[in-house]
Amino acid sequence: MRRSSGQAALASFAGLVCLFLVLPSLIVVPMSFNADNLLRFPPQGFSLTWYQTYFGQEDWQSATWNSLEIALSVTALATALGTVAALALIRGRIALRSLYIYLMLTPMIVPPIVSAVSMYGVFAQFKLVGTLPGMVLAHTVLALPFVIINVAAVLQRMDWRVEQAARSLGASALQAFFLVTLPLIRPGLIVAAIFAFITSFDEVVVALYISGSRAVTLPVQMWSGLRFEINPVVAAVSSLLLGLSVASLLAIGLLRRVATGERGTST
Amino acid sequence: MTEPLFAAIGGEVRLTNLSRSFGTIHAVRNVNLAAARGEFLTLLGASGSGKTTTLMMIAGFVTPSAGDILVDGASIVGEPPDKRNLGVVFQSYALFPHMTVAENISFPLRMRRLGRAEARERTEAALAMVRLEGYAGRRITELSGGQQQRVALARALVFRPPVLLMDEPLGALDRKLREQMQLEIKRIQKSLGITVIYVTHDQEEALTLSDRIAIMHEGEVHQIGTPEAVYERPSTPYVASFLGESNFLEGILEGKSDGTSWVRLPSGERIAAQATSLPVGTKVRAMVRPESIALASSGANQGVNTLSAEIEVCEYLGQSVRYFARGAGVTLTVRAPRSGAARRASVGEQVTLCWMQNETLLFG
Repeated sequence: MRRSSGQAALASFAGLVCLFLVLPSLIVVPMSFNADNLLRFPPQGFSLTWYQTYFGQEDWQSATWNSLEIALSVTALATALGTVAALALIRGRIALRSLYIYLMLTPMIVPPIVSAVSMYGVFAQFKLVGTLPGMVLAHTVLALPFVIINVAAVLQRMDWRVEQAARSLGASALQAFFLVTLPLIRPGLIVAAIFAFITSFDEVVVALYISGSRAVTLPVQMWSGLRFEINPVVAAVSSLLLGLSVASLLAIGLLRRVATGERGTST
Repeated sequence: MTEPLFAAIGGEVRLTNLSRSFGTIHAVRNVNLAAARGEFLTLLGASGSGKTTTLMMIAGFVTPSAGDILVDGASIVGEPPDKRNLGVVFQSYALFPHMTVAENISFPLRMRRLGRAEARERTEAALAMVRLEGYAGRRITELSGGQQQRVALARALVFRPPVLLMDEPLGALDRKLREQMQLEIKRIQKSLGITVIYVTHDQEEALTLSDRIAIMHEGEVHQIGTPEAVYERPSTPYVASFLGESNFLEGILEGKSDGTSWVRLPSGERIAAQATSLPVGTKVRAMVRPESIALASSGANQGVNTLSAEIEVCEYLGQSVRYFARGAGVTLTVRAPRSGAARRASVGEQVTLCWMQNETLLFG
């Protein structure tokens, strides 16, 4: 009896923590439907004005397209580079392996503001500030550790005899990789790609420095919107981003389940 | 036979002074071996004996530190694994879980750009050979361990390699299935005439399957011979103790006369053994198998060698009874058939152990 009441207390406490974590984010959703032109809670009336503003205004739209373009390029670049790096770390015979691992993971540990300042210093010299390629490069650096961690985890669970078997059956190293290894690690690669996309699409600190005035991304546009206008457009955009994040998270969960399900029955 | 598609001609494999060291560890040392066309050669040894490293060098996954590997007279050491054209069956089967049974088996044919029709015909013949007709469309994850093993075998044979390399292929199967698969492997090997190099740590499996066995220990080959030869005439004490059970009696080589050697034990008894090239006066070890020793009532004198002993332990093993008997300062293992003429002894009983001179081998 005492145990079950203790459990109930624990459960309600956990529920409170969840609410505490989630509510501040969710509050933007009702705020985005505000009929009033001030960003406030509770909302006054209901309207879709702010969504119309978002989809109608040139600066919001160009920022969105910039973000998408940068995030997709980062996804492709970071996934390709990160996969190759993870392969080298897991399979290669390299000296100082752990040193390399730590070096490759540093972008995750270094405070974003430090990355931003140092990248700004270097990128300015190469005239990369305020350009899409500059943003892609900067975000690729930030996304790489997530790709490496995810891909390395899948590679570590893989039975390398399967690739050796392919070689013994007449497949070249490249054929064995593309016909056998790649399909087997694909769920992990997709998770890594989603992480890379989110890392870039949500990133604001480095973007504030590198995006300049010509490569403004959505988070940067929101930041300046919040500072200069304080109208519920920001809430509307936030709600849309929230939806995107939830969808990505669900996709990752689903892919992880697919991956573990396959492993569970194959051996 | 429905297997004309598999009229493989076995290749001849020759290893010369093959060595591999990892840092200061000599995993394989100076191995010289030859497998004749169509021969079933087993590398037998405990884990760490270098047998799998040797096999992986032949397959091309481990680079030799020294020595050469020849298939039909041509060196393959410089060739990548995909150019060696050798069938390999791995312990974990290493099937492709994202492909069907048929896709797995036709993979080597796809790599060789074989026509669709011929590839299908050969895949079906391979499935028939391993008795998995009707499983072509199944997923690998739907198969039992034994069925996965058969798919791995079919996949390694479908491209008609001259040599099949097998690395503990039955290790993951239970005893009954293992014995069944041993028969299958032997049947397929005989019908194809393919050369097989087989790695195992299971001596019974090696004795059952092999034309010849190479016993490896600490990276070296101790002995190569037919199952009968390595069991009955082990060339080193290691081979004698690794294969089956054995008793060792230490003594001094006292004399030699037409085909018989005489050994004086520390306890005073004299033992007659097979002829030896060792000089008189050396310390020797006489080896006798437990099943070569018969139990007689105390005081009897049936064989050439007799030793009084007391039964210490008696184990009933089903097919046979195993005794541990204390005599001449050592404990000897005796294995007697459960039924038949052999008498049964009980713990504490005084008995005489008898065995023949020609069942006694000498080691220096």
